[in-house]
Amino acid sequence: MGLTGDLWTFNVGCGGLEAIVHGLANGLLRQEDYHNITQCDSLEDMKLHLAGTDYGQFLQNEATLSSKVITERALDRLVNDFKWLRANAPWPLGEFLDYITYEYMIANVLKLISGARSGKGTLELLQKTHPLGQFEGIGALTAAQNIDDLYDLVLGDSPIGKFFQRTDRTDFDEFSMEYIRSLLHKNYLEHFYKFCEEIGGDTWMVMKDLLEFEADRFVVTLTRNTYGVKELQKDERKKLFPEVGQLVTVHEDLANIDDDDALKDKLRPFPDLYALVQDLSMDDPANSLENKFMEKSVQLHKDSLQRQFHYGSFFSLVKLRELEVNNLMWIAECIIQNHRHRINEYVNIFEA
Amino acid sequence: MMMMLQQAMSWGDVLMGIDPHSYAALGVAFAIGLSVVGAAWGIGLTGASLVGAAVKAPRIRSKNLISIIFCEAVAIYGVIMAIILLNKFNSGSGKSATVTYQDHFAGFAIFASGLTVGLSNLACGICVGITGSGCALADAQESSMFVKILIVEIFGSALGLFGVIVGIIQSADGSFQ
Repeated sequence: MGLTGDLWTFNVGCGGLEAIVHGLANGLLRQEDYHNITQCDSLEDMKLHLAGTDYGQFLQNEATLSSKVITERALDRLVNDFKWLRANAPWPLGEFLDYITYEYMIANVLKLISGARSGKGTLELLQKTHPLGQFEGIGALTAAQNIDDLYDLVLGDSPIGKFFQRTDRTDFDEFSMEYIRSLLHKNYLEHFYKFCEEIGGDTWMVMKDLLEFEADRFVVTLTRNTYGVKELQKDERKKLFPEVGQLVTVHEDLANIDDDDALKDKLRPFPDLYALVQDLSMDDPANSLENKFMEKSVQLHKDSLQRQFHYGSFFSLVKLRELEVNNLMWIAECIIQNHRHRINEYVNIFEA
Repeated sequence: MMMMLQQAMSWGDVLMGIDPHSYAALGVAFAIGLSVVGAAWGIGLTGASLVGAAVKAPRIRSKNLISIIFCEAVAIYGVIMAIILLNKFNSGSGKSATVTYQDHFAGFAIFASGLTVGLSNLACGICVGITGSGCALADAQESSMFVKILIVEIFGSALGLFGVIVGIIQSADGSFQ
């Protein structure tokens, strides 16, 4: 029994919304849709094919097409659906949906800060922020000169203030930004995990698996990205690992390793994670492990959409739709640049 | 200081001391009351999912009203049983001052029958409600799923019928003097 209610009480609060989420998930592009749009010669063709899917006439007001325009309109569609769901959501679903947006808020905050440091204008930066991650006062962040300013100026009141913790790093140089990004992500995952645990019920069962996978993926990616980085001490590296996930027991060891063979060795006791890394070698293309993780997470999201009476379907819908928008962007770019041989490298959501 | 009673009372005396007519009246209340709770609960569960799913897939609207009808049938079983029991309740003249053994039997029979029907309809209503919700979502995704899940719902609604059958047999011989 959780706050969301059980099998026989969930529908009282969120039944209609959950059904709408499933309806939206049915509108995700299928294999034949992807097949059709990858065959297109131009963006006009792509627009025509997309008109026959759930996307409908989303580009009808656009005079010129470019991959940026297509991506933005597709993202607008996701944002509108999400905002509608958020507006109609009772507690605790409303708070759960807010947690989903916090990830985008964090990304926006970091983007604004690094953009401001490299001298871009505030308006231009605000236009580049992710629409799901908007919050009041986000514009004021560009005025921050260093991290202490950041904490004092805005983040105390904003919804993501609780993910920040003071560290020794107070500059905005690139290394520190990456460090802060990782720290924020760690805190976000831990908070979200604890929140889902409080909610309990089927939501907890589903979100536990999803968030544990996210945490493990984050740990492995962080470990690989920081092989032999001298500025990062081993204990600092371990502090960036969230206390969530299957790999918690081997965090000590993972913090100390510096190459792929040691990584594979440490992951051997975890069969599903080991299966993703076992073919890894140093000369793989940079994103092949990323793709494998992405495919596994797609599988987990599809599984969560198979169940009823839990909030995980809202989370999975947002993630899968975002993936779909990225796929459309990739395909549009390949069409424009005529890279036909790489056009099929989008991430498959549904097979056949 | 404990009061010394003239005669020691036991639970049996308490239960038999309650007038059989009140047992029977409660039985009727359970029959209709719990059945309606079950039906309402079921319709609420199914209706919420049906309304949401029909937003993106309007074609499911008419067919899935069958799930709502199955839940409603549960309330109808409750009404029928309540009317049958009421007839037995009113069968006696209600004018005699003494309570006979036949009256006790009638009271207990009608009470048990009402409870049987009420509780089984409560469970049946919720069961059909949950299944109906799944049916609406499955139909929205894939039309051929509707008939298959309907079979699950039919089995679920048979539970209410079992309750009615047993309830009728339970109260068959009960009648007030």
